[in-house]
Amino acid sequence: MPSVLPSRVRHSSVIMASRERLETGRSGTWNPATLTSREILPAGCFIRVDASARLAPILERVVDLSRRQEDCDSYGGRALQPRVVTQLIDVLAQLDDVIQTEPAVSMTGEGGLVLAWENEGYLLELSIDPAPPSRSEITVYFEDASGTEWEGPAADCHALDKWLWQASAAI
Amino acid sequence: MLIQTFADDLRIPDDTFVYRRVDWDRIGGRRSCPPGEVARLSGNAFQDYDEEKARELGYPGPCMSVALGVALLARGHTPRQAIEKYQGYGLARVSVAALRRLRRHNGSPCPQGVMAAPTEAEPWHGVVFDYEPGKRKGAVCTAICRVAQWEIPLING
Repeated sequence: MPSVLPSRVRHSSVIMASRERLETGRSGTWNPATLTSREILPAGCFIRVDASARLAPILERVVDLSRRQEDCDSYGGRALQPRVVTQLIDVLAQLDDVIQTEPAVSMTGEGGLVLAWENEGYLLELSIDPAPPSRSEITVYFEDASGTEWEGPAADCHALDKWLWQASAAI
Repeated sequence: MLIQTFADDLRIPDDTFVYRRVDWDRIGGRRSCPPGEVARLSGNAFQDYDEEKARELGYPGPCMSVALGVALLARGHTPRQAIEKYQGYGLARVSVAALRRLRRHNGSPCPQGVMAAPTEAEPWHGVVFDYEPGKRKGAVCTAICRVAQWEIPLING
C-alpha cells in the first residue's frame, strides 16, 4: 500500500452558525463549501478535526477489502483493483474539506469501491469503477428527501461539495 | 449463450419473491453496523454484472443473479437453500411485483424483468434485468433496495 495520508497538517478551526461562520482552509481563505447555502451548515458550533483522523478509518477499511479474493461475494466478484485505491486517495484528498463523517465503504462486483453517506435527509454514493481510464469512472448518485435525484460522472457534479457536506452530516 | 434475449417471464407470479445473497462487504462491512444490530441493506447489494462478466456467464447483457422463490418452492426448498453453501451471508428478498412496478426516488418508472436462468449448481437460479441498456444505474439499485427486505438478515454480533 502506498503512503495514503496527506502530508499537510490541518489546523483545527471552529465553525459558527450564521454570520459568524468562519472556515479556514489550507490556504487561509474562505472555503466555498461553507458559503453555498445557510442550510448547509447546521446551526451550532462544532470543531473540525485533523483530516488524517477522519481518513484513517476509511483507509483501514480499504486495507481490509484489499485482502478479499476473487469471487468472494458468491457472484464472481473481482478483487479490489489497485488503480481504484489510487483514485480513492485522490478523491479523498480533494474532498476531505467537505467530508464530515466516515462513509460506509463497500466493494463492487468489478473490484471497485462505493463510498456511501446517508442521513435523514440525504444519500450520496461515490462509486469508483476500475474499468475506463478516465475521470468518468468516478460516479455520483445523490438523492434528498424532496425527491431530488442526480446521477452521473463526478466531473459533471457541480454540487458535489455541497451534497457531500449535507449527506455526511451527523444528523 | 445461456440466454439469447432478456424477456420478462410472466409464468413467474407477481406474488412470489426473488432472493439475493448479501455479504458484509457489499453493504459497508461490520464497522458500519452497530454491535448487535441488523445490517442495513444498500443499493450496492443489487448491482448487475457488467457487460463483460454477463457475456462470460452466457447472458446477453448486464443483469443480476437471484434465486427464484417459485423455483425453490417447486423443488421443496426453503429460501435458505440459496445460502446453504455460503456461510456468513445474509439473504435479501424482493417481491416480483415490486420489481415489475419499480419506481425511482424521483417517481419515474424503472420496471425490471425477471426470468429463469437455471444452472447445474442452482436449478432455481434466475436473473433480474433492467429494460434500459447498460448496467443498472445506482438510482435503480437504490430503488430495489427500498423495496427489499431481509429474509435472513446479517447481524453484527
